[in-house]
Amino acid sequence: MLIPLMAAAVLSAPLAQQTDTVVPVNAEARLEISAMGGEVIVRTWDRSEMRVVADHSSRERIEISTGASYVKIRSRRERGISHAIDYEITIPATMDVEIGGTFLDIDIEGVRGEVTAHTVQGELRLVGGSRFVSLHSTQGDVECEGVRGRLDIGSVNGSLNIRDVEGEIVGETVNGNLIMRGVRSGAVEVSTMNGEIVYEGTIENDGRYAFANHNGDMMITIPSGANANVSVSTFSGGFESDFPVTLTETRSGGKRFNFTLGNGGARIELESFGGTIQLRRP
Amino acid sequence: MSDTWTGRLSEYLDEELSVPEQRALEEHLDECVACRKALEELRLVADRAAALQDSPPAEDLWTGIAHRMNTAQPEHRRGARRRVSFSLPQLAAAGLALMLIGAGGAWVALSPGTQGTAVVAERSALPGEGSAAVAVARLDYDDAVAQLQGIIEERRAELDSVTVRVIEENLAAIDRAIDEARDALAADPANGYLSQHLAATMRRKVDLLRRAATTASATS
Repeated sequence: MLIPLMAAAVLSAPLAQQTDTVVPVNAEARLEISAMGGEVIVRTWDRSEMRVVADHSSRERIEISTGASYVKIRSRRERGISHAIDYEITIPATMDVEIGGTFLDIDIEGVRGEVTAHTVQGELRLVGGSRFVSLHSTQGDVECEGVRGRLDIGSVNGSLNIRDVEGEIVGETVNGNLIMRGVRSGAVEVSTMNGEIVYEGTIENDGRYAFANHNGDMMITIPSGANANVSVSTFSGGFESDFPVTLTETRSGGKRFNFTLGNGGARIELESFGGTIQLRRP
Repeated sequence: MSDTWTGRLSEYLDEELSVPEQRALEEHLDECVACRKALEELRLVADRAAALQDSPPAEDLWTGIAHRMNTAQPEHRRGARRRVSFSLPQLAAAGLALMLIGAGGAWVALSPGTQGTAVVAERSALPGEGSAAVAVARLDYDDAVAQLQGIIEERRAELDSVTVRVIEENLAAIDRAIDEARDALAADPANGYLSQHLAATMRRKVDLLRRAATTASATS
């Protein structure tokens, strides 16, 4: 009895299938992908074409629609619950990219256009992106490198890892570290509730830098010769500096104070409710 | 953003556009990020309005919104579908309840050391002109939290259990941070940093709830 049942189950099970297709696209268009689960890998090439390789079940159909300014990729299922689909997509580097999903890992490399990538449960990785980049995951780490433009990055239960970024940065997570290295920016505003903050980057004379957390240490690297007005606030945390600072104003029993580096200029706000704030030289 | 279509997004949501108009708007949405975002916000507001209809809270959020919009309060008819027609400025007003606490956390900034849940009766007990604003802002915060929690609870079954757990754990962590900040502020009521930190942590809670509600809307 068991064998016929197993045979029936095998016969009715969806088969694995691969879609592999190349379509002409406008290199200035925006790629839009909406997927429930799986993985989306985006790479680039120097052609006005898009290649889509997707691994999916035989009950799923991959639909590609194109317009003058957009290219959309969707999956359609005849019946039953959607399965995860793994995409490998190659597009012209100049295209903008917009990807959204629920149980989705997203990995984008080489895109020179705008990038928006949001997922609920999944990791996000981007190398490239310009003008405006928005990366958000509810439960997963978010990592980006080489962004040139405004970066809006966030997670709830994941760390944010930012490298070699040039432009304004706004970042927020609840439970995770916030690591920034090789940053060239005049505007950085980042916060985490439970997590460390590390910043290694420029301090521009007219820049504004705000770092805040509730629990967790904060390590801020201040380049030699930086001109900045620095304000430090903590409640039960501490403050350490690799170099001498002369306080200009202290409040709340020494837990809030200001000092000036060089001629002033940039505004740096360092706030940690319970963590230690450390200033370092590169 | 397109002037032609922004005013018609709520009609689209209410399925009141003709088929050709609907198609034309959908084509526009393919190309206009701003309109797509506005539509997403509109959906969230519509969901909240629908939640009010099903289980009106003691303090109907609509009352506050309508008051700020200086328009007549809509008829509440149980069982009938609440039509949600907002222009973009009205949509912005509808978001005001959430945004109020974003404006520097007025209630904490204006009332150092204030603790506990503000209720209407307490407004008069707070001294000074700013007290009403303090109480209203706090009330809006409580309303916003209650509304968003209602949406999430309503759609809890449609959310993935891991996502729910993650959201709940992070909300609990935020609540602990809020308690710590409140205690600290009580000990040092004049500390501007603590006021701002408390406001920022409360804002973080609303942001997380709002994100969770949006996720629930998207997956339902």
